[in-house]
Amino acid sequence: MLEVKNAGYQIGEKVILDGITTSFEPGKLSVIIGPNGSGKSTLLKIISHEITRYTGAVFYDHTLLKNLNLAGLAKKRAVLSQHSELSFPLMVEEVVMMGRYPHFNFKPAAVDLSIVNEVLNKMEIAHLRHRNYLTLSGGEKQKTHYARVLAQIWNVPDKETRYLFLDEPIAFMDLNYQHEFLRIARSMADANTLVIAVLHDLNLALQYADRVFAINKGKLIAEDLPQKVITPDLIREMYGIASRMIHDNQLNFPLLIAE
Amino acid sequence: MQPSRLSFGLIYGILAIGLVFSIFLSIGCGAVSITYREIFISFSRLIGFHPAQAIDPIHEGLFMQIRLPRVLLCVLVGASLSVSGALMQALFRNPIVEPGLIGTSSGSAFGAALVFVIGKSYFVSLSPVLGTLILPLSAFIFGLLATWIVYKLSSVVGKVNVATMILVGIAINAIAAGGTGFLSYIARDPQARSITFWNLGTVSGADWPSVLLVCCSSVLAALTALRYSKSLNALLLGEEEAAYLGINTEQLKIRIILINTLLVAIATSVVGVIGFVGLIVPHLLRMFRSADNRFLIIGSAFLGAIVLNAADMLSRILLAPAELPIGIVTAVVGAPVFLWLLTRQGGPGKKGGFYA
Repeated sequence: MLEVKNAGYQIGEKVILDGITTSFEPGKLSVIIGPNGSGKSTLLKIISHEITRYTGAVFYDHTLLKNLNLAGLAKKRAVLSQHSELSFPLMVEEVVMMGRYPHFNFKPAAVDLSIVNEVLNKMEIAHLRHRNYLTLSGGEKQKTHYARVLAQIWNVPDKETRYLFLDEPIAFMDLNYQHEFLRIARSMADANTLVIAVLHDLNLALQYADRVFAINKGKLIAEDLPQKVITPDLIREMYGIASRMIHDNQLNFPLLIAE
Repeated sequence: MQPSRLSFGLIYGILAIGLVFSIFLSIGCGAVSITYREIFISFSRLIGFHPAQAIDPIHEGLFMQIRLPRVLLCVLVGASLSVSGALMQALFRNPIVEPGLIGTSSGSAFGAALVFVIGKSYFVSLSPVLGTLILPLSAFIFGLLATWIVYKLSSVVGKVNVATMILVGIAINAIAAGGTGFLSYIARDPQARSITFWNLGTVSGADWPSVLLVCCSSVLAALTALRYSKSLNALLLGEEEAAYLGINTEQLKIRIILINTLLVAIATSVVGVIGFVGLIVPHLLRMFRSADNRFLIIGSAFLGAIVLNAADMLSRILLAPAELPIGIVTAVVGAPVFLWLLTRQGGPGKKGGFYA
């Protein structure tokens, strides 16, 4: 359980986020949507402890986030960013092993090595393990980081919640990667992980999310089941465009198209 | 280039053998050559054995008082500068950084020149212990100051802008060089001469106290650096990502800059400014095998020692019986090697980065 209480953030005079109060549950894929500059990534950064000078409070399982230490937090909370700036020649398996860094001191233990194997297989990049990271395609690089992030929270002690945050992880990915990434996020949520993803593509939110949080101009304007939040009215309010929903008998979720 | 798959242990082994080999070679060569037999006998005497064979006492004195300290100093300084290069490249997340480019060396040089001109004897007269340590201390303080300014000015919102860094580095180097120039201008002749020499880098003044000093600082700093190799790897992902992996990045950066300054400033206060070693050694290792910082720190210590030993041999052989300052050798050999690396790799602007 992750609770946000009256969180606010401003840079100088400009208010980025204002009075956000909500909670996220383990076992659910929560998706945050909103226009560019609405503050959705800022909210994720506050939750993940990247931004620390906010007002209000964030609680991880009733513990105040500011009281958690960075190293302990890293054992159960992983964040996948839009892109990483790694520009040095490391092998794919070395990059993935970085996800295990919070768990060992000097040398990786047997369990760390076997987790790296598992996530490489899960992401279907085991054949790339000895490749130079810099020679990979954009999609393969992002998969490598996804594997690293999964390795970080692969096994947490019993009854501890693990947290997976995805900050627009598929912004530059092709269709195949987008769905693969969300299927994996879905499977992590099904394995009782608390997953929060910031997404731009509303149809992906309709298809995969358990719960959608809409942020506009720094305020949380709606949170509910995807089909209840993503409506033509809300789309008009957030993006200023007309749209309608399309229902298909073969699908158990509607689709949104702009008019 | 696809990196080699040799195991780290094997590479360390090969480098260690190379280092021993280069030490023997370097002790032997010079204006008076010492035979390997004499080196072996001197070594065994040094560690407490008393072989029956007698050797020329002049050669043994040469070995003990001149060659051995000189070669050991080269080993330590080469290792220090190379480890420093590896640390700085990881900190700035850029493979073309080295202590000479970001102000550490020139700042330290200025700090040392200051002591030369004010006069070491003045400090020694104040307090003998402080007096001997004032040269490395002053080098450390000014080296730290220069590095800190370059780092601060080139990192905008937590990200180091490389173009800015190089420009700030040029400016800080110019200020430090101007300061050192001014000091040698106002200095009395023998002081000025020593500043000039030492700006070119020289190991010919090696003696046991300076070997001991550099040994303490470099071993301490390199071992501490090893503890941070994992954090430095994580830092390669960017500061945000490193923080997500539980690393206190602000603290890490300050510690790395301190360790780096310890490595460079103490070495610089003893041997002067020696460029390009710190740039090229980690670079070669990274190209050859991996950017893993644990490997780079250990590997750079070995390879840096070998490279500086080789440069020192060249500096003794090229104009024998006279000697070239070693800094000239590393610059003349190092700069073209670096240019070759740059062009061969297609330059840093190439898609996929420097090493793809």
